[in-house]
Amino acid sequence: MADENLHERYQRQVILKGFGEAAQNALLQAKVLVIGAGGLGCPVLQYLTAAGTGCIGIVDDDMVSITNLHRQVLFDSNDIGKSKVQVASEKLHLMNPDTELIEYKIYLDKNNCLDIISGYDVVVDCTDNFSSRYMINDACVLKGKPLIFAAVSGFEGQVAVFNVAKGEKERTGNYRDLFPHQPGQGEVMNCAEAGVLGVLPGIIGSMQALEVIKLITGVGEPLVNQLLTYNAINNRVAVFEYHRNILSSACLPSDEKEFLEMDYKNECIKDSRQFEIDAETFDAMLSQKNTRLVDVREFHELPLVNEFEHTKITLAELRNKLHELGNGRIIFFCQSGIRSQQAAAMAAEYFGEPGRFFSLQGGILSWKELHAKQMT
Amino acid sequence: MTETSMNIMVFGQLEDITGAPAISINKVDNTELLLQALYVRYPALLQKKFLLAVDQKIITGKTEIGDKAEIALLPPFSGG
Repeated sequence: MADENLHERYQRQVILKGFGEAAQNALLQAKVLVIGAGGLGCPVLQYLTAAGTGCIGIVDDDMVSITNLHRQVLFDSNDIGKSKVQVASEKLHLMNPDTELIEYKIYLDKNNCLDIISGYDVVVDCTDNFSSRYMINDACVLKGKPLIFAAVSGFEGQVAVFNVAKGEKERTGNYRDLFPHQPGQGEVMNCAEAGVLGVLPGIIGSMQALEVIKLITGVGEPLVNQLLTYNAINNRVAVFEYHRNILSSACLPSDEKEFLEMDYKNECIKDSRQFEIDAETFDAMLSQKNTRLVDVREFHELPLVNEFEHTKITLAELRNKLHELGNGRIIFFCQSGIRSQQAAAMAAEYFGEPGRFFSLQGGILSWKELHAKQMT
Repeated sequence: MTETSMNIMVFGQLEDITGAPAISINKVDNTELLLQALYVRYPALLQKKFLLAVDQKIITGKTEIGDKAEIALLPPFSGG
């Protein structure tokens, strides 16, 4: 890197009190992987390139479409139908030829993910779906890479910095400390239906780029163990603190082998209701022999169940305890019937016997509600 | 807001369930009672994933709720 470049191109940030040449040099040497070149990815890529990041990897297998243009501001009308990664790379190169750009015109999956991220210092999640977000989170934990997270919904955004080294062995919180399990269908609205105002990912993506720069340069306080929320409607910003969640490590794959065995695509519950039984059927089965009830909720969850005998195996534990389930009919239940559905699906797949696993529809809450009504 | 009620900030698409970004419910002493009250008033919340924060701290177990505590319900976002 020519010194005159450093002085001219980056002069306005190098002269910043508290930034300086040391911070600029750290940026010039950094390798950052940006996953997703969409609404969040565009501002992240633009600001990281402009700021003089040494090397940026860009992952996206998508083509530019006309519905992207209102928010993905790296692309213009002439780019429709072209590869996002390729167009982004060309435009970013014009913006700052000093930044080395590496194109990955692929869909990131668990088979290529670990290899790709291991070559970078920092990973930036600019994807648009939970499967990818959980996979990237887990991969970053396994590979010990800091992860800059951001996501939008409607007029709101969230930003957080995960998995930063703290001392010799420890790392700060990750996405599973916030939401240990991937949401099932119906637990969040379908994003394609939700819509997004063009400028919102611009704001949130810019915040994400800022967190990357802060983390790399050591300037300021990155959002470690914190979740920032922004609401475009009322300009309200809030920062929430969180702690390590006991469930997080139970849900994370413990090594690369387990990572490859994870089912990120289908961790979301399929819509099929094939294991569900209603409260009436459940009551009828309760009294039958050879029927075992399993509560897959976490140990602290209420209400307590005193009405019938049951075993407690949390959904997180179940993966390693499937062999303990034994023969006979097994009915899983949880709070609202979502995790128990997942449990039944897991057990059915493990034993290859879908007929003997069931899930209480609506969970223990609606079962209790029904019985309370019958009492009055 | 009266002395016996508490304000709850609702984020993201949970607003579709509560009908407003801020709701008020009768004061309760801990987060367990709070969730029960919320589920009674908005049964659809049972099907949704969200975090509960008390005074800008995300909590996982039963937590006391002090007077004038700020409560927030935070769902996960996936859009990009």
